[in-house]
Amino acid sequence: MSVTTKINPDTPVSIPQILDAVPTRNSAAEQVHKNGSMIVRVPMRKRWYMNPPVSWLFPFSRYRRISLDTPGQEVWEACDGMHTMEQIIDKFAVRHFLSFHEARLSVMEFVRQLMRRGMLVLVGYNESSGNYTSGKREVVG
Amino acid sequence: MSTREKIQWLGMELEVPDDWEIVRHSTGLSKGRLIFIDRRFQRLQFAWTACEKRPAETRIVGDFRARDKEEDQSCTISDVYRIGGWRVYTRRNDATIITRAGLYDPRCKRWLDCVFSWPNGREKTIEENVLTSYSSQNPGASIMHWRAFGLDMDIPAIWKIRKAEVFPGATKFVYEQNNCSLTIRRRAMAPYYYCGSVEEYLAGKTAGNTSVYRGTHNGHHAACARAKERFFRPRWLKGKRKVTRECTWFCDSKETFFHITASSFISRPADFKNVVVRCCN
Repeated sequence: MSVTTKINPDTPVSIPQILDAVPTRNSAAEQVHKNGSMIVRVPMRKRWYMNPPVSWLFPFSRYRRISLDTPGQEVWEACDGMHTMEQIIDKFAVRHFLSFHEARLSVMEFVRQLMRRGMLVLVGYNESSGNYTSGKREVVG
Repeated sequence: MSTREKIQWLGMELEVPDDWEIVRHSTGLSKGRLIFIDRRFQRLQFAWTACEKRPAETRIVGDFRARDKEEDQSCTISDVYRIGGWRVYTRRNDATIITRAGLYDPRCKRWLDCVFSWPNGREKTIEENVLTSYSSQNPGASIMHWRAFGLDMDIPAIWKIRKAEVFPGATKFVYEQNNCSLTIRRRAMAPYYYCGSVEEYLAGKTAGNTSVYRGTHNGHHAACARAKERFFRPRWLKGKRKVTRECTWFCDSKETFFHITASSFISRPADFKNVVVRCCN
């Protein structure tokens, strides 16, 4: 059984922990391709004010959407739950002729934005239980 | 040690492992520092302080040791030993090893201070290679070499650095001399904003009525432009008008744009001929 702890995405986490973490997409996220760009949407929790009669006056969207440009699509597709942040950053750096640190800043900021919107989580290394192979993973975002 | 990367900064030069990158930098001649990290940890702090006369090096290093001992009574501090001209000692505690090295460079008249941190075991070879690779340029040299943040440049020494702005994939160095300025930019990830024509790219960056003409730079097709300030001025102040020259080129092997902008007075045109920016080989 996995142990999950939800932490604010802005909680300071050390760089080694982030590099070892595996970004995993929200299973409810859907991808829509439109005019060459990709739109990722996740359903939002239905609040009380989203019901009639308020929703008759203000038609609330049931999804939270984000439009991704080409580099964003690359990172989103790389976040398949199989690769660590370090591997994704490495691949991004090689693809765009950037240094590792430049790529790290770009990719981490992008991942942080997706985490804030609930589209990604970082599945991290759980120090108390050992490592990934123990089967216990901790959600840090 | 893996392959090494040469860093040239303010007339100082040292070689570090190629996975070490600068994350903090200073542009002050009299005092400043460069901080290097590898993928996970800070590795080196290289600091300099202007010092006209040779200081009492033994006393400085002795003071550092005493201060380290005072900060952490449980740590073990080694005796001072020499690597090249550097006076080196190590400070060990349970968690980490810190190596500190000091050197006075009489050529550039600076006291240099290197602090290596080794949280996962010390790598003595790297320390020795970094320390012994240090050298400084002759302060009287007419050209100063700069190599950091993906830029490799030779800039005439009369140009003094004013600022260096570094963002992911975008680097900007600004130099000044007699109210004239020289800006060198590097912009990576070009395929996402490059339309295929360097002239169009430069025309989009400059004022609307600037004429853009073709040129070559480092074997790449380049676009150049020259623009005069358009403000109204009395005729006798004409010499105060500024002229801006620009040159941009796209290095396809790195998918990166390089852009040089030089701004000077018409009456006192600055010499930009000796500015060399290398992109690939």
